[in-house]
Amino acid sequence: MLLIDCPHCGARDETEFACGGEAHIARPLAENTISDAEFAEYLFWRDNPKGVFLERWCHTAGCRRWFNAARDTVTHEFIEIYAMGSLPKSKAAKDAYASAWRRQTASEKAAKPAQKTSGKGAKS
Amino acid sequence: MVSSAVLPGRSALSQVAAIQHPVPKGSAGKITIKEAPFHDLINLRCQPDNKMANALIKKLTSHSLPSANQAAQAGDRAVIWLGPDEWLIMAEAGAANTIMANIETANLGHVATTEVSNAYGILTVNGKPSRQMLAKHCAIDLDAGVFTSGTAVQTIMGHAGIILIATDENSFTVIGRSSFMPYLVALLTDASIEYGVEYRPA
Repeated sequence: MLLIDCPHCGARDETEFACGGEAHIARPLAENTISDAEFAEYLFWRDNPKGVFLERWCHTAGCRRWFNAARDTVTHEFIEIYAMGSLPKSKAAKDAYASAWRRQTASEKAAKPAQKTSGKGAKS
Repeated sequence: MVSSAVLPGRSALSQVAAIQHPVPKGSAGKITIKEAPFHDLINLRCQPDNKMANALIKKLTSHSLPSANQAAQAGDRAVIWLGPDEWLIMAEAGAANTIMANIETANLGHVATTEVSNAYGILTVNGKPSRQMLAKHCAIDLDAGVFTSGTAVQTIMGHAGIILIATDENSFTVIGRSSFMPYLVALLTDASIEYGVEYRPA
């Protein structure tokens, strides 16, 4: 049984929490055209690493708030707990973020606004 | 037209009869479980640094918005922390409309109230071995030095989600969903048999 440090309520029993799976999955923007196979990377494909994994968790039986956590899938150690919408700060979690398979996918690249080669940016 | 005042009230535990188990030899003390029916409950959403909302809640309940895992409960009305921007206001029956109207007309910014009086039932648990008894079905650290009077947590008791509040060294308030209240009474009285227990309906 794990003791998980809810950022709002403090250390609580694992049974109070729900794991929401892989964190940092950005939705491709409509302005970027990608293939169905590439959209599937966003919609269906999930990482399953041995080692540090960045996950979303929800304190469902407590404050009902979501947060991100970096957890080692081998030892179950929670390396870092950080807020939704932010990136991890510890080295191990940062490395896990940078080296994740998803960083190289076309769906993640399509989640950023398309680079404009000419137009407003060139003038100013 | 039927006025709400003439409709008979029915509490969450109106169908559950009294339960009594004698106090066995060597018991640390008898446990008394009672329903505390017909309190009005209001769910309040607002930012903790909203000064105007804080001042108005203080005026209405005589409590400031409590911080994490705390309940402000002296007097008739109580305010219980539920989340970083969420509280539960407990007041006497019939008070919800006035409190909510006060909050809604005060133009406090991003503040929302929802009346949840009928969604919950309330139990009070008294008696010396209350902590040991509650700890049987609850993973929270209920040590008297940690779970002090005024501590309030949302957690799981058996299979039911509850709000557990320490009102005194040996007294607790258990707030659970209405439909789970008969289950909670069965669970808590069963856990109390070794100490001797009396459950009294309201």
